[in-house]
Amino acid sequence: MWRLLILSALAALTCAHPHEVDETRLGATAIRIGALENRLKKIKEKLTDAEKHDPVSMFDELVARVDHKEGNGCSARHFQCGGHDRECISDLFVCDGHTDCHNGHDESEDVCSTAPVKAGNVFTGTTTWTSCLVRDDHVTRIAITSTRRVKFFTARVRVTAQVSADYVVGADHHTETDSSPYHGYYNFGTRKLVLFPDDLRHIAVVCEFNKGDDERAECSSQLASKHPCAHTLIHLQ
Amino acid sequence: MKILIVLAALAAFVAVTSASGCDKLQRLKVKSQWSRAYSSGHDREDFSQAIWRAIFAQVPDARALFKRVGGDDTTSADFVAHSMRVLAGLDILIALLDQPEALQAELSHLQKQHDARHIPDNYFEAFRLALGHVLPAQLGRCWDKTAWSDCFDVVAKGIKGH
Repeated sequence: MWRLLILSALAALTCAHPHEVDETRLGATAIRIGALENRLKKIKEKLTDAEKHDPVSMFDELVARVDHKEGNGCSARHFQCGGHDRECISDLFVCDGHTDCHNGHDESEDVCSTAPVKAGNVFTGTTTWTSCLVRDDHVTRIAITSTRRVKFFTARVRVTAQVSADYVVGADHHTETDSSPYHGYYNFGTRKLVLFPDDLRHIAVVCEFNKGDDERAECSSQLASKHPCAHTLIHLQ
Repeated sequence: MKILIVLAALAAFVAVTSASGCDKLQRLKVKSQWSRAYSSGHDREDFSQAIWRAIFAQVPDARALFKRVGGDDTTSADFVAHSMRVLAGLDILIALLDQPEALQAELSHLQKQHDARHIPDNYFEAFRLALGHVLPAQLGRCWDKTAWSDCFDVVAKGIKGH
């Protein structure tokens, strides 16, 4: 930018004294500067595009999906410490302020991130029912309304949320939103958010943040028997 | 006059039923939920470990009572053994919740064991709160807070003797 300013100032100077500098050379330089500016603009556009395809997050997602398929060698409700040790610990010990993995992974910053369940987070996704209720696909919204973590037992985050669904009803096919309060907890070890309905006639929602980030989760609506009724892929808004 | 008597009788009835708490159905509920939470093998050790960490996090001074059994380090073999012994005692109490006479006998036995230690009431309260958070974490779902709170009171009162 500075160079451009100096050059244009120089150009202005030479215009004032046309006999001192070769005009054709100056014109060629101006064209070259213009071309450079264009290339710079294109590079900027490419940089903006590159941000959209972050190779690190893509890699994280791939690792998470492969891990999910492979299994981690731990039994249910246990946490894999990772690394070369392949050590499993109870999910009651993950993020409880006491190092239980030999490599300390159970207390690491990324494992203990509360980002998935920050109050104010709103997740949306399309729900497909496969059992329990006869319902067309509809949009579901999960809004985290408050969280609480007791000091003497930090392995869980208590969560309250508002779960709403948009239904198309009536002869005119208008959309009605049905919203109800839920409460539950987030488990750092399993990366699962479990939400129970305050009104027991509704169905519980279990979301697993298994996509390698804190923004997407696979949810399953379940009966008390854990029988799956519907599934939703939710996305942080 | 008649109305007064009826009212007084009603008030007495309400007082008795609400004071008792931990009714028969709650006791059965606690029994079945406990058997799931108590689990077995290594999971049982982990469950117990989580409870004791939650207790000591609330009342760090309580560690002093457990000096003889490795209370300084809850992961030490001595303390793990002790904590399993405590949970085994609680397991007996919960298993006996629907047999009042046997429950009373076990409670008096445990009261005798605890009397000499002069345990402050707030330590029992810390135990109750620890259970109140670790149990639902261990069970995941299907846990009745009120039933547990009411029935823990019966157990704690029996051991404290007041």
